Amino acid sequence: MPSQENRNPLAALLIGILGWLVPGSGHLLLRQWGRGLGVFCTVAAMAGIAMAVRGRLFLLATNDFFDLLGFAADCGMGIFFYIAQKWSNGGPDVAHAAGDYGTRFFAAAGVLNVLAAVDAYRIARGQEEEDEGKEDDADTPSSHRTEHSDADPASELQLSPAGVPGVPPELPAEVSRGESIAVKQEPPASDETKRSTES
Amino acid sequence: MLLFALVVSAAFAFLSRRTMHDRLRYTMWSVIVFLVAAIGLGWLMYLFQK
Repeated sequence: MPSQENRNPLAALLIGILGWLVPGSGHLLLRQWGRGLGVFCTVAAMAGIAMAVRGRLFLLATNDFFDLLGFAADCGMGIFFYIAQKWSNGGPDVAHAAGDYGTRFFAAAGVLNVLAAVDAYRIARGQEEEDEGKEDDADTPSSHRTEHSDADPASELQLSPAGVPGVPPELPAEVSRGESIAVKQEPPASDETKRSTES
Repeated sequence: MLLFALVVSAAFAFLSRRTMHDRLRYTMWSVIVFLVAAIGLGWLMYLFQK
């Protein structure tokens, strides 16, 4: 869980940038070890597969709009973009399907890393906790009531079975709605049992 | 395609789920959806071939 100190916007931005630069580092800085390692392993795996099958890495030196989009996607890999540029494996193999898959793997790795960096930024800002709180409220609106409905109201109130006629039972300081309904039903039951015994 | 679906699903699972059990379930579900969508779209494109 992020501490209150990490809700500084500048610190959150720095965490997001570091998370982009080194995949998973943003989450690791926020002590989310599982997410950080998972992001790093998946981005590294995609970049490694793309390098192994000789995918094409888009560079900035182009006038084609789609190549620029590819460059923007590949840049998302962070440090793996630099490593892939330095990796010499005979150049891109666009003549075969494997090389084409590699090109897509590069782009997907970049986009996933950007998504992870944005997620780290949102966690650092505390926005993910607010979203989870809203989801919990929407999914289980009666979650608070289940704590009271599971217990027997009569046993919770510790009412005597016979009760004292004419004297209302003492209620505890905090009574839920369910318990108050059960209390209201108690006096008529005792009157009916009285009539049944008299008849 | 399977490898791509597996890695992308794992990444989504790590980002959207907290527990390892939920992540594994989400990964499996996401891989199935990926494959069904890819094969389904492929067959859909086959209907419009020349």
